[in-house]
Amino acid sequence: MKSFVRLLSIVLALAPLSADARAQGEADLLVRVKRLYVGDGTFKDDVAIVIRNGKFESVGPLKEGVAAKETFDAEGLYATPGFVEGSSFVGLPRGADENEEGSETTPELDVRAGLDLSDPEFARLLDVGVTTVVVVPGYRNVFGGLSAAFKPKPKGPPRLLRAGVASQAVAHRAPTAGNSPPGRGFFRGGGPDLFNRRPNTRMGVVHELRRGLQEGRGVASTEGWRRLYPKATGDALARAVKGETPFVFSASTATDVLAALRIADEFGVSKFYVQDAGEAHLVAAKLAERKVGVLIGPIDARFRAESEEERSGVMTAPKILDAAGATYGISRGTSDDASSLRAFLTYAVRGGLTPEKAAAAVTGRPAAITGLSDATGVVAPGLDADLLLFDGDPTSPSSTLAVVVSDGAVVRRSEARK
Amino acid sequence: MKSLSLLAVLLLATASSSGQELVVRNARLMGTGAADGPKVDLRVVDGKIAAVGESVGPVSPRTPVVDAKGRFVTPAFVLAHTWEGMDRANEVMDVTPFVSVTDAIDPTSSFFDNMLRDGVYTIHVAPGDRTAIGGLGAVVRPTALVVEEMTIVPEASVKISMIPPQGNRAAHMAKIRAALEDARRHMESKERATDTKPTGNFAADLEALQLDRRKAPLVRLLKREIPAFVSCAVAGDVTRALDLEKEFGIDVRLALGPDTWRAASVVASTKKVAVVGPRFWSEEEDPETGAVVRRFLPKVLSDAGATFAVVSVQTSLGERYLWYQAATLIRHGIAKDAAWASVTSRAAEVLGLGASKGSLDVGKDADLLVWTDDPMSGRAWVDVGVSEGRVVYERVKDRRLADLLGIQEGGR
Repeated sequence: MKSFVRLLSIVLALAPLSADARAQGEADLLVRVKRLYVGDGTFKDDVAIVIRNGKFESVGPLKEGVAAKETFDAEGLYATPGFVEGSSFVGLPRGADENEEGSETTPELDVRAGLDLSDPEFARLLDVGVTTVVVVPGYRNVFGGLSAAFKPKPKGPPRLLRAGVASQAVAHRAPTAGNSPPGRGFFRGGGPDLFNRRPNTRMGVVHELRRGLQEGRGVASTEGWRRLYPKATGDALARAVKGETPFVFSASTATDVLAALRIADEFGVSKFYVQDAGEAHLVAAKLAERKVGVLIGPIDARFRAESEEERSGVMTAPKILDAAGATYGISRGTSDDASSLRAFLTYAVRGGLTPEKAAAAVTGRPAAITGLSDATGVVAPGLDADLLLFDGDPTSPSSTLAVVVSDGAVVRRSEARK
Repeated sequence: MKSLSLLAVLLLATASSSGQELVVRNARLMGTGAADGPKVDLRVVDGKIAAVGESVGPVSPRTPVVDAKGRFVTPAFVLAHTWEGMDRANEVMDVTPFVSVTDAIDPTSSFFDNMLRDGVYTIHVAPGDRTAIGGLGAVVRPTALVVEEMTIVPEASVKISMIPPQGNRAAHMAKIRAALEDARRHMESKERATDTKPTGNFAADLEALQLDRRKAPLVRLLKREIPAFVSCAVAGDVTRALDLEKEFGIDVRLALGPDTWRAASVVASTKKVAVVGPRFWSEEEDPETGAVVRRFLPKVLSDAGATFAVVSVQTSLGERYLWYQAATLIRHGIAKDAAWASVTSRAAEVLGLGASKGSLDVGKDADLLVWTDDPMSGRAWVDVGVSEGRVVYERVKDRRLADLLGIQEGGR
């Protein structure tokens, strides 16, 4: 295949250049595929994709005289946009537990400040086709801080795509983990302190959410509040309440999702989405009606999740959300083969979703939900050239991820086949 | 009364010898010993494949016919090694050769329900890896609700694990050696004490020895009547397992974890099929540079010339399906035929059932699956499952699957 590619590049290079192509010089990459899953829920057959200066230049029928430094056009190639991981703990030293525990409410913190950018997991995500990853703060705090989007690179630190993607608010039970009610903890009889924090129940978590938003609203509206409340915390909450920073509610059970919607209503929070909602399919109609974006995952080849708190979405969840008309993406893949976004793509199709919609659920949809669709997630002119090439339909688990392109550069080539 | 029961026995005998037939029409064969191709018919007589080809002879109107309608037909899967389907996988003591999975298998567990739905009709259930000598394994089919009726091979293996649950490997190895030596001494003393000459009838000979029941399984292992399935976590475990094979003359079948990759050439030199999985990836961090190297065990084995069967596990994402495992092998560079063999014919071979299971060759058990789609596509389901010539699963009648998938009755 390599020699064929080389031969073809030579042939193309010798072909008379059109005035247009000559003016612009050689493109960086030319890819011809049997089928492209565009990332927006559609597909196109027999298209050529031209990449120049890290961006998609054109997508469509092959134009005469286009020359490129490198060409991929082996028979039967399939392409999707690079996968977009909408919710990850990659690079967090303690993963889901990575929080400042001095307070439940730390919306002023930025996940970037504690991130280990040399974590090899960033580069490993490239092996399974993830070209964009949103890193969120840990779940121990009700207001955890700001998330950020990165693009993993094969060598060196990932490229920061966007800071302040969303302000995280946790609506599930994780902030109660390890907390014990006053009088039952290590320091018996004491009130909440560093070692014996509130909250202890789901109700307590929701109360903390309400309190924080109340304070945020207060700071946003009156000087009096501003004087009372620590400036950074208050300002951060006020920004989110006013919709300057979107909120992301982390919610696992259907109850959590409904609590998040209720809270958003009470405080007029306009810009928000929901993540980690393993049970979102149980409230699919509600999410569709409210037009709230939701990230589910990990999804599972099983029909039923193991434990209540670690709910993973069932295989049929994407199809149920789709049928209800909800805006959904699939996230929480790892670099492990069988629990990667690539695997979720297969499960979603097995659960009844069409391949083109399943491909969108791990690319364009999570990009749109996290507000990154002006940069990546879809194969369209002007967007970052993040592209995956497969030697067969990517929804079939036997197809190999052959090439990974990130920002126009080939960052992975598979040696598995041929 | 007596004559009545005799009559019943006679009737049963005639029923089973009269040639119960089943015909599968318009099959598109895949991953079989026979030539792959579209529109093939299969004739099944008395639970065995009697004919495969474009014409399988005249079919009587009373013979049940499964029309595959040009869809994929494959042999049913063979799961070469699992600890699932039992209440607990392990005894809490280190050396328990006298326990048997037959007493722990739960036929009503969802594991067997899933195996039926997923087309796995030969399952080797063995004790888990946390016991040095774990007990007897059995080969079963998921098509009955009573262990005795499920059983294909009642005492199929002795489970040994080279992975110490505590302490170091030297102590662990010593425990296994002590148990085997003890069994050998017991066997030899019984043989000295018995006057009867060996008759060649294994069961009768063992009976004549009047063995301690608690030691009988290991004696049968030492006499190579049953093989040992030996779990190995690291490369050294493989060489130690083969040391045991040499020292005690036992028949060792290797069950390999991903970190055994350094022993690939040793595995190849055994010329026996090894069991691999459900995890395939070995990950090693260079202590100096911190660079992580990942290796895919099946590829390493395949490059070294070793043959293997792969297994699945219900509790993991994706890895619960044998077709998914086979597809994973293909995705990482194993040839398609070898990948399919690893979940069918190779798996049967490792269980010593190569002559009856794992392919659709004439004369073998009629264990076959009719699929809704290409089994590798990810969206295929088993539509009709046949075990030993009997239709044991029909998707249209699987109410539970329909519920789970939210399918209306009669729909896709």
